[in-house]
This record gives sequence, structure tokens and C-alpha cells, in this order.
Amino acid sequence: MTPLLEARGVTRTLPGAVPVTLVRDITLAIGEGEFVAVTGPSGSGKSSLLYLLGLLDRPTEGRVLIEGQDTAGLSAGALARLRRERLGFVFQFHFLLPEFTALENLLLPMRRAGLEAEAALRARAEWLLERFGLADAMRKYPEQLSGGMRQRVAVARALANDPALVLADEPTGNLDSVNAAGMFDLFESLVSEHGRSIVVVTHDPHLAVRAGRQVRLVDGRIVEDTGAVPA
Amino acid sequence: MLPLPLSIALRHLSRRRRQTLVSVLGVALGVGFFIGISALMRGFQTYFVAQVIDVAPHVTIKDEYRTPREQPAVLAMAGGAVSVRGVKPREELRGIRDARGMLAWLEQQPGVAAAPGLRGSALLRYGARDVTATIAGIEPARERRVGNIEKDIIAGSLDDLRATANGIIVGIGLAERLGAARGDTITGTAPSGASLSFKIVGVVATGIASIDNGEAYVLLKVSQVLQDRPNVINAIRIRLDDVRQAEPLARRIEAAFGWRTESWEEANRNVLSLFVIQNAIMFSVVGAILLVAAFGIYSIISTVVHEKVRDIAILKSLGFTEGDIMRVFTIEGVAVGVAGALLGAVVGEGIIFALGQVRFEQAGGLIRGNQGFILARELWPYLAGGAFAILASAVAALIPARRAAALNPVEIVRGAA
Ligand SMILES: Nc1ncnc2c1ncn2[C@@H]1O[C@H](COP(=O)(O)OP(=O)(O)O)[C@@H](O)[C@H]1O
Ligand SMILES: [Mg+2]
Repeated sequence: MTPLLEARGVTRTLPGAVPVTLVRDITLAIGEGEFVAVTGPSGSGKSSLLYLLGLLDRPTEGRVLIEGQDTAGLSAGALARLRRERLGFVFQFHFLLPEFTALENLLLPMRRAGLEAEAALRARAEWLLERFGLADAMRKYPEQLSGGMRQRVAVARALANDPALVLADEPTGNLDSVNAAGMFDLFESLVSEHGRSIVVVTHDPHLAVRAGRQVRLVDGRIVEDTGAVPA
Repeated sequence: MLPLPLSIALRHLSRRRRQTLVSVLGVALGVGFFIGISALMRGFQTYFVAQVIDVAPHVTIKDEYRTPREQPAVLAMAGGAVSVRGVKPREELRGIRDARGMLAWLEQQPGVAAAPGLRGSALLRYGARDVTATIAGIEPARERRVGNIEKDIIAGSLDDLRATANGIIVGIGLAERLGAARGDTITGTAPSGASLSFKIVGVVATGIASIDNGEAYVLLKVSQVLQDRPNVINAIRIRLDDVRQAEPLARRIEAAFGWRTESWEEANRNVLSLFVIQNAIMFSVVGAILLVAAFGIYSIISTVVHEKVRDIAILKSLGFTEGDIMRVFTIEGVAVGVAGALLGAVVGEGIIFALGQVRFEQAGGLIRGNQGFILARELWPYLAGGAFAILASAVAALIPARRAAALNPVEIVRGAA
């Protein structure tokens, strides 16, 4: 079966007087319904890998394929469409749009994709926020929310268009253990009940083990992948 | 519901009110001044033109030629074998030959009224005072159809010229300088030496200094006697139903009869070309104001883009395209332009209202009955000012908007993280 997302020999080097290699020779396939935890020390290239998998960055070497299709040849418009319809991305530092309420932050990508009528979008956005315990925060602006709440809104927003794959960069960084566990519960149900795939970067080994598969990065290389298909 | 880029743009603007307000005001001032200044300038210009069209003849046929006629010797030796220099104008009896025939022809043309006249100078004397004036000999019946002099007569009437032997109507300034009034008898002496006594039967005040201070009207026959030029007519003045026909008609007459024929446009060419310069200055000044406003928009959109780089990264990660991002920031600029144009119309109205309140104590008696600014109420400055403001805003916003759209989200996030 074709994997949902695949990286083949991906290297990303920042050009410059002293070129910096962020990730090196990454080969990784994520199938449908897979829950992957990415771990590794700070600066090991976890975020950089997520940008590449989220089609926000392009590799200097190697290829990233989505559903078997090489993304190197895709136009900016086609990549944008994949990002809004197939992928959900959560930056490491929450990043909500400050001029919009929590609910509006969810509605923006939904309206842009325009996959359903406005009423249905609104109902789904409210349902998602409720699932994250944010029923009272819907009409609040980001500055009125705590760091943990913003982080949950950002994750809810990544799920807004019901993407096939969610890529979340340390989404539990600002959460207490109860909320962090709750978020992982939600991830688990998305994977097991809805067949979605999740790649989540985390520092917390207790949470990492809840994922079906662990990928460990050191110095931009994969040093361990519990789910690697033997070549 | 609003299109998405528009609603994002409006949200950005409404959440940063102060900045938005300042840039809107900048544009509004530019547009407002444009509207105000053009009302002022165009008001004066159209007033002037109306005044000229109202008072002066639309076309004047003179008893002279535009270019001196070729010397017979030159005509005989075509090709340049002969050159004649130092020719003095012949002492000919000046006057429009066959003026009556021309008048008859002119009066057959539709929408044309013509009146003959003999203009000459004379020294008017009243008691110890004397003033040199232009004496215009007119035929009241025809004059009435050509000029509006009658409505400017403040004492007496045109008919009194005929009713009184040697009646004369003098300009108000002239009357003042002579110290004479209606009913007084003055003497007029022409360069020919002939001298006549005139009875002032009327005083005219046109508001045009050259007429009020230097002209007097008598019957054509009287003028011919005074100038000792029996039956001579040296000017035919024409009034048209359609003033735009003045220049073409003047050219036709000159081509057909040869006499120098001037339309009102030609007669006032120096003033009309002054208007062109005046308008050019106006447009440059106001253009500069709007340019400054456009730079304001540019700097504001640039600042917004700079402050919004994280938002741009987020929007891109959410699948918004470069086109979406560009639209958001371009719309912000255009929205400022539109708001500025609308507010500018209000500011313009206000400026026009304020200008309308200005009263001059005494404008030297030049503009009679008008002690304030003459303001043109026209729609086009509102449309032109608004359109220019919106266009300038769009261009000013487009540059930073394109830069915003091209930003790489990952570079933004790496820089921020
Ligand atoms: N703009 C940059 N210039 C130079 N080095 C960078 C830049 N951004 C990131 N790096 C380096 O790239 C490496 C990978 O960073 P990152 O992917 O953020 O790691 P992680 O998310 O695992 O902490 C780090 O060593 C970091 O110092
Ligand atoms: Mg990181």
C-alpha cells in the first residue's frame, strides 16, 4: 500500500558561508492510521523535519512524496491546497492569529477550503473547541487565553479541515499533565476511530510511548525508528 | 458573507484603529484639498469665461489684415526675384469695405447676430476735467442682440441714445473721473479735430474695468460724424447662439472676406493659457499631497506586513496561497484609499463650505455683486480625486503586499523561534 507521506533520503541544508545541515538523509514512511512520536534532544532537527513533512519547506536533497506523488514538481498553489485539505500543522510556538477569536481562528482555514456550508463549518469548529475543553474560550481573543489554551486552540485549528495527517510540533509544551494526556487521548481516538495519521514531536517520554511508533532524531539523523519497515 | 481576504484585511485595519485612522486622514486631506482647490480655480475660470462670453462679442471682425498684403511688385515677380523692404502701411482710408454686405450675409447665417460699430478715441471734457475714452458708435437695435450692455446700464437706457440728440452713455469709472452724471453735457473732441457736445443719457457698469473706465457709447451715425468718417464701419461684432462655433466661424469669415476676425477665445488667449498653467500648478500641488498620502499608505502597509510576518507564516501553513496573502494586504491599502476618498469628499465639501463663507470687504469694485469666492460645483473633482486616491493606495499597498506574499513561512518561524 502507498504510504500517506514518505521522505526518501531527505537532507536540508541552509546555505551560507558556513552551511548548516538541519536534517540529514531522512527516510521515513507514514501510513494511514499511524501515530508517530518524534523525540530527540533540542536542536536535533525535529522542527526542521516537520516543516519538510508539512510541505512548508523543500529539501535540498531527496524527495518528499504525498500519497505516492513527488511534491518537488508541484506548484505553490498545489502545495497550498494540500496543506489546507490534507495536512494539519501545529507550530512549536502556538501562533494563533491575534486579531481573531479562537472560533474564528478555526473558521479561517475552514472557510478558505470551503468544503462545507458555513453552518456546518461553524458547528464543527464549535464541536472541536468543546472537545478541547474550550467551550468558554470560543469568543475570546488569543491575548485573553492562557498559553495552554492557545496551544489547544492551535491543535484544534490543525484538525479543522479533518486532515489525513496532523503534524504537531511539541503541542503539549505548555500544558499540564492532565491537559497533555487529554490531547493525546484525542490523538489516539483520531487514529483509532477515524483512521487519521499523527506525527507529534514531544519531549515527554511518557507521552511518546503512547504513540504506536517512536522516531528518535540526533544531530539531524534518525537514530531509532520503532516502526521502520525493514528494507 | 465577505470574501475571506477582505474580512481578514478589514479585521487587521479595525484592530489597529489609530494607525488606520491616520492613514485614512492623510488620503482624505489630499482628496479634500483637491476638491476644494478645484472648486475655487474652476469657479473663477468658468466665471471669467462666462463673464467674457456674456459681455464681449463672441466674434469681432476688424478693419485690418492679419498679415500685410503682398506688395504688387512681389506678386508680379513670384519666386523671389524681387524683395521689398521697409514698406510703410499706406495711408488708406481705414474701415471695413462693404460692411453692409457682410452684415447682410452674417444675418442670414443661423444662430448669428451681428452689429456694426465705429470705434475711435476722443477726448471727453467736462468743465476742467478731461479723459481720453474709446467712443463706440453703435446701432441700438442691433447692439441689443449682440451685446449685453443694456443690462449693465445702471442709469438711463439704450433707447435714450436715439431719443436724445447727441446722447452718450458713459462707463461708470469714466463718469467718476469726469465728475459728470446723467443729464450733464460734456464735450468730445476726436483726433480729426471735430468736436461735438454730448448729453449723458446713461451710465454703464459692467464690472470690467477697461469698459467701465474707458468706454462710451453713442449712435453709429454720431460716431461717424465725430470721427469725420462718414459711412465707415471699423468693427463688426457678432454674437452666437452656440459659443463653441465662434472660432470656426471666425476662420470662415476671415477666409471669405480677408478681414482680421477674432473669436473670444483668440481675444482672451493670454488669459486662457494662464488658466492652463494655473490648472497645471493645481494638479501638481494636489498630486504632491496625494503622493505623500500614498507614501503614508506604503509605509503603513509595510509596517503592517513587518508586524504580521508570523501571521503570514500561519496563514501559509493553513494553506492560504501567495495570492491570498497579497490580496489581504492590497485590500488593506485599497480600503484605506476608499475610506480616504469618501472622507475626502466630506472634507472637500467642508472646504468648499468654508470658502463660501469668506467675504471680501471690497474687491476694488472689480467683481460687482460678488463679495466672495466663486466656487464651481462639479462632480468630476470628487470622482477624479477619489479614483486617484484609490489607485495610488492600491499601488502603494501592492509593493509591500507582494513582498509579504513571497515570504517563506519557515524562514519566518526559524527567525522567530
Ligand atoms: N536560521 C538558522 N540558522 C542557523 N541554524 C539554524 C537555524 N534554524 C535552526 N538552526 C539549527 O538547526 C538545528 C535544527 O533545529 P530545529 O529543527 O529547530 O531543532 P529542534 O526542533 O529539534 O529543536 C539546530 O541545531 C538549530 O540550531
Ligand atoms: Mg523545535
